[in-house]
Amino acid sequence: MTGFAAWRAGRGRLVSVIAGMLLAVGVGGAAAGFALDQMRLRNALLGRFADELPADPALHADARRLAEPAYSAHCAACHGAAREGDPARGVPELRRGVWLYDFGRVSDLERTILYGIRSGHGKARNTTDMPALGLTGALTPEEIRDAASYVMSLSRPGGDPAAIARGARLYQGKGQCFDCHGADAAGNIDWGSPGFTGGHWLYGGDPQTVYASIHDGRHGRCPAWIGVLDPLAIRALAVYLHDVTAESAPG
Amino acid sequence: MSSPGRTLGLSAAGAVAGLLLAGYALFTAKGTEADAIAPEDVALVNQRVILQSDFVTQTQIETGAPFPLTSAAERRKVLDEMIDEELLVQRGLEIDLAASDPDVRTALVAGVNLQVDAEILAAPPDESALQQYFADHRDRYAIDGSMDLRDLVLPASARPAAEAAVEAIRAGTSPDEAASRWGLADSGKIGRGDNYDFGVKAKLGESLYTRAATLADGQVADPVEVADQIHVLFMVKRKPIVRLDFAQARDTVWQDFQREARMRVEQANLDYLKSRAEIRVAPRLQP
Repeated sequence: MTGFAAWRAGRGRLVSVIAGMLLAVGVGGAAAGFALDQMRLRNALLGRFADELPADPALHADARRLAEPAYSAHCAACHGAAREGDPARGVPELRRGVWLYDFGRVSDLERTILYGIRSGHGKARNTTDMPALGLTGALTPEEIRDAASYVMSLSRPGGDPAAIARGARLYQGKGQCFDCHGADAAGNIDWGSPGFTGGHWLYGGDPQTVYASIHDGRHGRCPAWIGVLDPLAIRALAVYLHDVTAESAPG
Repeated sequence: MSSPGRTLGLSAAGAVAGLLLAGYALFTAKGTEADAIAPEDVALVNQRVILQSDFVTQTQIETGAPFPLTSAAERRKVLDEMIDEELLVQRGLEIDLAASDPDVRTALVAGVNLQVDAEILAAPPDESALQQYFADHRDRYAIDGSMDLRDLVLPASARPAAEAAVEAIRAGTSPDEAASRWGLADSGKIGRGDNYDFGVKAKLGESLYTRAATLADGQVADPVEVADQIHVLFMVKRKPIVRLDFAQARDTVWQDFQREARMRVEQANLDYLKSRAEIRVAPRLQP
């Protein structure tokens, strides 16, 4: 090998070594950057109490970036890609801020995502079920129609006054509806009992659906995501959903 | 310059240095203990975490106020209580409370089953599976019928009298009058007035029930011979079984479907636990 050829071969090896080192540094740097970013996010999103986060708008973009893929992968199948919900299955929309449980604060949303609703987890929200008042014979079909007329009348004018009056008596008496939904029909956010005065219907507010709710009962479910999703993803989802909905006022 | 002796010597020195370092680390380090509290937690109690979310919930429950409105003292009090609880739970495990306390055992059994069932409880219903289940158990989903039935009897040898009574009833004679004229007596097996179908089936038997269930109001069946008696069945009032369609029964179907699925996984869990357990049964109780 001539001196020039040896120099060329040596230079080739040197270039390869330098390129390899640069690549390794690049990959390592990217990995380190990702890890540092995750650490920063973890500390920023989880290092404070959930309800302190809405006051920090800088975090919201980060939360959204983390939450959207998690929402698409785990939540959209039931709640819909556009968070539109599914009244046919009693899956709530996540756009406005009508909450069955608590007030829609970040901590409230996080608790629901962590433990679910009737999920089987010991800390799930599962205090009550809507009983099947028709199937169990507690109310007759006529009484159910009257009770439905009454609860619908609370947010919608019109209807048969006699049926509404009978329904009101059933609500406060034989049907024992007041026990969970409140004597003022405003619902109970501790138990997840919906109110009837706001015109929001989880399963739909038409007479047939309201009849079916009373007759057959309702038992909506949401899985527990603790142990399935990373705490950071759960917190990010809670912040994101808080951003795109609204809190209801406590009290 | 090298020699086999020097190579071996250097290797041995390296090995000894490595062992010394490992030994030092083994006997002086804190092992795997973690001092840092993850940001999603608020405390570590003997390596067991107290989750931030649980702490917030507990604080709100105890104070009745939204978490941001609670004071540092209130938060600290709640956290101390949660730490106390964790310590007592850990002590309970340490002294194997489950071995002696029936309440703890019951709670543990329920908790384990709940864990096993969680996936089933959380899974959204599969409509096609529910419809198949409904089709396979169609008879379950019905509002039971009832009947006000007269079961009049004669000895088996008196078939002509029974047939005459049936003819008379069909011609408009009342069952009481026909019974009196041809000597039929109430069997006494079912009460007067409404009886649920299942009750009639249990008291009269399958064959008489099947015959009675075909009768409309005011109809009388041909005499039916069972054992040593002839039965004349007269239907005063029939409320037939109302079969629910899938939409009406869906919720109950879902509950039944889920209950059976839970029983299956709980049994599978027990089978698995038995398969890896060493269980010895006293000879007097062995099969």
